[in-house]
Amino acid sequence: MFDFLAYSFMQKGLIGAVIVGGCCSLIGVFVVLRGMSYIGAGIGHGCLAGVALAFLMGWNPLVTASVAAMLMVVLIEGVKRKAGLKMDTAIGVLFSLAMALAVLFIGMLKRYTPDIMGYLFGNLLGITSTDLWVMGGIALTVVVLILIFFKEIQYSTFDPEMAELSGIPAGWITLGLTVLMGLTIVISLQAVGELLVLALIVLPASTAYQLTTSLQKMIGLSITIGVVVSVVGLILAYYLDVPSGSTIVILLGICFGMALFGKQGE
Amino acid sequence: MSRKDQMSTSPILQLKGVSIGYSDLIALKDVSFEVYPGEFVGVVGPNGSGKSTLLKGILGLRPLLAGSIHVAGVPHHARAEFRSKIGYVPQKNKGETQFPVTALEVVLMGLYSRIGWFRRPKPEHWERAADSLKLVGMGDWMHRHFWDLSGGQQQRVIIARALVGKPELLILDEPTSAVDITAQHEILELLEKLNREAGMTIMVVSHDINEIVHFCDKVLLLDKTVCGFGTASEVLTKENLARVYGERIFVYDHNGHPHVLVGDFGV
Repeated sequence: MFDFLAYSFMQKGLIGAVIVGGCCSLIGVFVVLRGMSYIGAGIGHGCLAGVALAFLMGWNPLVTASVAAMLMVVLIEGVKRKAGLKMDTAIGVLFSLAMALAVLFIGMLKRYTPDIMGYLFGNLLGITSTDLWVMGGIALTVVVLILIFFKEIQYSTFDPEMAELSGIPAGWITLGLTVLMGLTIVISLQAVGELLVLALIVLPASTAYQLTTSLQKMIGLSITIGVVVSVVGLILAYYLDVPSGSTIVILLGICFGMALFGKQGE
Repeated sequence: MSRKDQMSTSPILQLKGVSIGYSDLIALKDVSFEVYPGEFVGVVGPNGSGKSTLLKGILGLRPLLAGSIHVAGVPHHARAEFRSKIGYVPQKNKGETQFPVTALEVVLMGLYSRIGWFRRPKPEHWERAADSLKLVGMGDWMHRHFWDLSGGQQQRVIIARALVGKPELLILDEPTSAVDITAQHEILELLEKLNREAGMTIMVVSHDINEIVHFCDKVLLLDKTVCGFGTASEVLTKENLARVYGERIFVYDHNGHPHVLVGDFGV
């Protein structure tokens, strides 16, 4: 029954699923509570443009995607302030521009590059040992920083004005969380792909939100759902011989539907 | 507090020649007044009179163009210590309505800056938060989801959050504007109780003069500067109010308190 564990690619894929599922669903709690999902979409598109540029120039895709993610964070905030626009409009401007750049860079590639499809749709089974070390390191950083600054993140998420007034730099906390979301998106690109990463961030937290009224329980539930569904989705995808990223996201969607309708039926 | 008592006591809040402005506009000019321990001061004035600007200045959200502010002897430029002396209740709780949090956790947030970075709340912090909730009559509701509470109950929790740091001065910006009339009265009674029984010094900004005069010792009438500061009978005169609100103001005595009406009463 567990014969798939004999394969090295499957072992790495499962470890990757645990790391990505856990990290995305943890940061997802704050993304959902702060209404930051659209920023995630913007950062994701920026990452894809970075990956495409990396393939074009022969650079390291993860490093270039990380730089692109941080650039998107800075540009979104900069355009919002400079142009006096609302956040969603600033994201809309850069989101489209980043996607256009990604398509342009992919179009400029002289040869067919199947690896880039992995960054679009995800490929947990293609994860290398180096990828796992990078993913683990970044995920650990995200978890540790959220644990250290938990109460400041909690207060500035609940009531940013009063948090700022009490001496907590709510603006910096928001920027820090956006950077952590960018890093989470970068390490998730290879696992579930740019097109599906936002689902892995938003769906476990949204499902957990339906089931509890405690932040601590919401975080615990979100991580449990993210990790378990990522692992189950990968195993299911292996046996059904279907793409793992989409299987995980569809399972997460089913969980969300069950939680939503289960709650309404109470 | 009598003038003799005031002479022997230092003011909790002291403003001297304070002017506050925005880029090309002076919103408040040359404001000076003192609030003494245990006083309940109501701040009234028309829209645009500078009530919110005054609060922003006291809270350190707007820089002073001139003058100085001291709270319990601490100057406004000693930001952290100055801020720790003030408990603030905003006009309307703008908390994120999706946020899963209990009443007790909301109150605990009022201690976060005192607990400091890299530290977790200890049992004594939770106890202080619980005590603060009991003080505002919300002891039985501390483990309830904050957003399941009524508007009046939520406002009590926010008052408990402002009190949990044991401030010298409690400032409230129109605390009854977002609640129904029963809750309005309950909140003002709570403030009166905090003032009379716990000796809390309170400053409340209100647009409703007739509501606030029943509870406060002193009234500060603002219109870009101080137009009157003293007891309600001293400040809320026909002359003062007409200068600020216009000639259609009518003032009459209602159970020993001035009652203000606007309209043509043929007098």
